[in-house]
Amino acid sequence: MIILLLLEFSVSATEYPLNITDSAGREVTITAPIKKIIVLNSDAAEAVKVLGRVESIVGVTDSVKKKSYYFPELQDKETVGTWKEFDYEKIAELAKNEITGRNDPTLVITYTFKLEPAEKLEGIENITVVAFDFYKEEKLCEEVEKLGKILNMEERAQEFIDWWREKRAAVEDAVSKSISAESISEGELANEILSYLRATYLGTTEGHLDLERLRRHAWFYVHGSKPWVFIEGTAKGLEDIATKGNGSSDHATCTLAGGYNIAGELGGAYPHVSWEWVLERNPDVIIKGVYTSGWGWSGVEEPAELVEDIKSRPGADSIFAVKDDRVYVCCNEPLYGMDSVVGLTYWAKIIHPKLDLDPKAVYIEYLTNFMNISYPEGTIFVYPEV
Amino acid sequence: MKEVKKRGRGEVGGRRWKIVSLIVSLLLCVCAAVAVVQGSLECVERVIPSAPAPNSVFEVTLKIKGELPLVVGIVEEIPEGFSFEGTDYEYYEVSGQKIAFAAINVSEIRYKVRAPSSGEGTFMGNWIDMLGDKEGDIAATTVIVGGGGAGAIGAEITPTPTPAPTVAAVTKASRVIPFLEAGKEVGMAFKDLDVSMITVKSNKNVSNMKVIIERMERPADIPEPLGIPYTYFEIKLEGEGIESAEIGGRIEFKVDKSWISDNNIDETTVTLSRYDEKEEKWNALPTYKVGEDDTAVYFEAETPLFAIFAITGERKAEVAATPTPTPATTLMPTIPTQSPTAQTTPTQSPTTPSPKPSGCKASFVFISLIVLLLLRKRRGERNK
Repeated sequence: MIILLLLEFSVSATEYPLNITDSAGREVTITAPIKKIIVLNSDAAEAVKVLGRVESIVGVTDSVKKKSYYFPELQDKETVGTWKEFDYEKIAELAKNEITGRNDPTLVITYTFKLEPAEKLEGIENITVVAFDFYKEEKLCEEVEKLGKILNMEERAQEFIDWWREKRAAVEDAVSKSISAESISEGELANEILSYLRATYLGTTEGHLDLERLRRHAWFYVHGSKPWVFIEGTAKGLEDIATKGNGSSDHATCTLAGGYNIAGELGGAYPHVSWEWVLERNPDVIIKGVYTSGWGWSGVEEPAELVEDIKSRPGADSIFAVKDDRVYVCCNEPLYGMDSVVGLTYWAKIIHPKLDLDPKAVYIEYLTNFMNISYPEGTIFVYPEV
Repeated sequence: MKEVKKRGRGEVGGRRWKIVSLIVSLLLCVCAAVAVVQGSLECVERVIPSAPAPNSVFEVTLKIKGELPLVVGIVEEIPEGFSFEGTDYEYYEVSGQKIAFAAINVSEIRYKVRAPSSGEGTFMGNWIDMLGDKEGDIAATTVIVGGGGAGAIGAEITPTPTPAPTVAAVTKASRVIPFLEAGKEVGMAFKDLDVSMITVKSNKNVSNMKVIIERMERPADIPEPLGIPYTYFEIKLEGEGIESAEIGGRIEFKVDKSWISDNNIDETTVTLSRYDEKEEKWNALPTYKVGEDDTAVYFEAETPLFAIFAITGERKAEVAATPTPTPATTLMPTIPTQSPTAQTTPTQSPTTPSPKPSGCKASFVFISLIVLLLLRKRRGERNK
């Protein structure tokens, strides 16, 4: 009842028509308060849920239904297609008011790279298509703010944006301090070099860093203590491993988390490399992102096996990531979309283990405050645990 | 008899030759450094007085060429009889005649050395780029205590061989292959070396294999290969399982266009040869041109194993048929290290010319001409 009253209040506070520019650069006019929402992907569903309008969703794609752990309340909603193919007749049908026979003001949310719905539904009374992605870090707050305006949930949108920015800033601050604290001083580096030269050229037998480790320390001294990270996606064998380059959201996450993405210097956002290339680059940390069949892993067996698979590859024991036991697998769920700041916090903790950050606590805040669901105790999102 | 006389003249003038050659090599190293524009660390050079006074303390300067930031490990070895007297640089360590420096974001390091009462000695050194994967030698520098006057050194001292006319930015580099799977090829690219790519293939799995490539002078006990040598280098392999494996591969190398044109080399005769230590002979490898750019021509050759290699070329046929004396022919007999064959063959070029930036080539010719004129003048005075 209180929610309904609040909704009424916010609705009455909005002036129509409302003009906005969506993320595809389209000028969109909302002529009346939105009564129904049809989401064509799970990122849009999550954004609508975070803004408190999940009850207005009348149609979803099957990708939304697959995430029953995030959207239990949407399991009985009408399906309007898959994430890439849509049933436009169904969408039009769902927009219709059974009593008046006319369409209720209906918002259809699609990705910016899937603009077919805008063409197909153009001219149909009261159906407005907007293109937002909700997974691109640099546009996320702007998109949430615009969706807040469209749905008359501006305060809620601002609440989320403030929280998201606060958590992001916490990571940036911690990473910055960590890089500064872990940085190698000139004197330390000089001593390491002299130890190496003593042992290699002057005939002493004292312990020293090997040349590769020494060179990495020299790099840290010059560029800051940013561990070299290899982001592994799907591996189709040792000759074909998908990774993330400059332009991908993982690259941005890695950089924000204080890592140096070794594939960032390759061309393209989604390059493929061989295992030999990885060995040659010698990363300090390997992070393998996994689309789990459910929400994370219920036990350690599966993620442990994935880690072991990487560690047992030919020559793996020659790289720092394996020598230092820093090969991780991560569930991709909290890495992309509205909860990406949770994934960012996990990655920062992986890359800089000494950081005073608690990724689990951040996830709990997100789930309870914005998604109205409980944290699944015992579920593994990152392995080994950080 | 005539030849002995010639050699004797060279011995008398040997000390001056040393000084001249030092100046030449220093100038050329500076020239090479100017020509190299890419990369962080280019090379490390040593600046040192060629003739310190007996028992004097003199300064040695190590010039670290390249753009900051620079992190370099340097080891200097000072000759016996000379003693290290200290440095203002903070990060160093001394052990016997060796001094290690950790050069961090500095473009030069100076240290002091005390000279003995007489004699000569050669300073040597090497460097490791900690921000790249390059290693190299600092060109050896010979100094003569007392300025090389008649009483300073005995007449029997053979003049120090002149260093290669140019000093490449990198003389040594290595790569580690964590795992070389049997039957699979692994390629390694090299920058600033004559060899631009080495591809290795083994018949057995090999772990942690280190591939070391080093530019070298031809050792005296190895015969000269056929043709005009461009450069020599050695490729060594280290690692577990190397001994029992057959490891061959392909070598891509580049040859400076200026060397080809200056020596009138027939490009199609450029050959990579491998030295067979058992047979004590050079084996020419099938060599193919694979490309070229503004400054160099690129070739590739397959080798069944890795050892000492030479890149050679032959002069174009029409030039060989009508040899014409060049200024270098007059100069050559006076170069103490020149072989008799080279001295008597008018069209023979100086031995082991090294690859170098084209600007340096011109400088080398210019300096050679000055040396030539000085020698002619000296001879003229003597004849009077």
